[in-house]
Amino acid sequence: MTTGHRFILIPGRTSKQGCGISEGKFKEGYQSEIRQLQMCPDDMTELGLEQGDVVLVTSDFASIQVAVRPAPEDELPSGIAFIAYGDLSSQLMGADTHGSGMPTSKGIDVSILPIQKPQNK
Amino acid sequence: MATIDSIPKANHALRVVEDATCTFCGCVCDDINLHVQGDHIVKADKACVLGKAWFLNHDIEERPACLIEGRPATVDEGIERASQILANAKYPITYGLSDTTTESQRLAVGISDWIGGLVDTTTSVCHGPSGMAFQGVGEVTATLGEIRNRGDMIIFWGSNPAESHPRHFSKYSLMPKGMFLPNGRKDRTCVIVDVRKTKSAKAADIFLQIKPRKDFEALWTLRALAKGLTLDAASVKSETGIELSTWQDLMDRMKQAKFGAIFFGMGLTMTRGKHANTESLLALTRDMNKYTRFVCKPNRGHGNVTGADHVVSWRTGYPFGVNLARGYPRFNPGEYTASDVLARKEADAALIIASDPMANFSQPAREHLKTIPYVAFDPKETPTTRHATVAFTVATYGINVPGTVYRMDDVPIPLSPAFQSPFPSDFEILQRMEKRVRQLKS
Repeated sequence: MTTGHRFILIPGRTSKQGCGISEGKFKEGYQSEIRQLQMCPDDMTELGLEQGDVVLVTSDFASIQVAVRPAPEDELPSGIAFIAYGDLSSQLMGADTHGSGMPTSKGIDVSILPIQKPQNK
Repeated sequence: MATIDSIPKANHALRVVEDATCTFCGCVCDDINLHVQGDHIVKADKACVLGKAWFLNHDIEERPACLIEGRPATVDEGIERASQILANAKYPITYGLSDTTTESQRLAVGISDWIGGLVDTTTSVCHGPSGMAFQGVGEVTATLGEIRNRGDMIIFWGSNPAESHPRHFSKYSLMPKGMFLPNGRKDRTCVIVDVRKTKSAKAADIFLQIKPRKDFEALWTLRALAKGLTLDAASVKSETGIELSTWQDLMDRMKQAKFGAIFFGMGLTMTRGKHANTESLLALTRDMNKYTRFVCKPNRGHGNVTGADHVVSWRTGYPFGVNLARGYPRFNPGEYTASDVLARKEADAALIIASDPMANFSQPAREHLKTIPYVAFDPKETPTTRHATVAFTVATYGINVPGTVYRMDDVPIPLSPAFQSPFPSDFEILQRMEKRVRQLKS
């Protein structure tokens, strides 16, 4: 895993991601929802991140680049990040299912590294 | 029950289809009133946000009914090519099946049997571990109707129905006034256990935010308390993130309930521990029946994923991950589940129905799927249909196609389609493919 700040990543369902499946997986609504990482606002402050900044999220298996946004209210405790299920979250899973058929898709150890500010800043 | 011929052909007069069935999620709400104009649903009364998106976005798209290697082809050509791919493969897999009718699922299992392949469903990457736990522990179960009428303690564990099953609270579990709960929500206690304070937590009387990847420890804490064992308070707090006194209070409330229901989600099955987490929950439910009535149900995601479990079980004796290569069924999750078989580069062809492994599987599984010939069925274009050797655009079940689906509580529900589609159903294509595959294999 690359250097960065250690987090536990929870991929999961969101209403927008669910609606996006019906609207079309190549449409903007779905694509933007699965490409945003939600973090606890305190963690964002500590990492010097603002909404829209791009971070590199790295697991033992892959790295993805996503924009960050603060989680609503107190939804996430410090140290936990959330991303909507989709192509990018699946890339971070390993293939090993530990004899269950199910890759470990939640509670993934990741490092988060700020890499880019939005261009319009 | 509706048949293809009884589905109205698209015309521009505004019609209302009453009590239509939504097949987006496992709640399978069958009280939706659809306002239909031509080949477009303009309004879906009573549907939730996910149901509205489902009904209002399944118009007839301008796409070929069949693509072979990315080029438009006739359905006949597609059926021939697809049948040849499957009949000539050494280790073909059939995967998906959770967003189609039980009638189509039955055909897909039949084809898998004829070609001596493996049949697996999206269950293996959602509640597959729960399926394993059911076999190990058993299931104390109930219908949603029973829970609606009796459940005075409702617990959600690792599940966020406010976003994944938006009508769960209002139609089945929390808000309804039931036969034995005349005051509805006031007569129920709602507990939510999760690692995130999700949108569902707002509905809870008690919200317990446990440490991530500590569901197993939390559940065994409750199992110990159910049996009256003494626990070390510091260890419990350190392991679960919750004070022992809070767990004790929950257990006391659970024992005082008249009818408890625990709904669980993929917070248990997708996290480290997987089937061991679910086994703990099922065992806790069993334990609670020494004191009061308690039941436990998984909150199922896709509209007919429960039907897929039923159909594969009827046909093979096992619910998912079944290998039919030897002419008799063998079941072994991890060995015969689609994600594993693809990641190990064992499969040499695939039949993918109503699912999107190219977006949802691990990268090694996806990379192998790209290298083998495969056939995909979907009403919409997806990453999986884009890479398919043969891709069929099919009519949407529930909106254009009649049949049966199973609600998450194993209750079969008939579909009431809104209008006919110019695209064939997966049922029609699979029926012809089964016939052709049988010819090729004989």
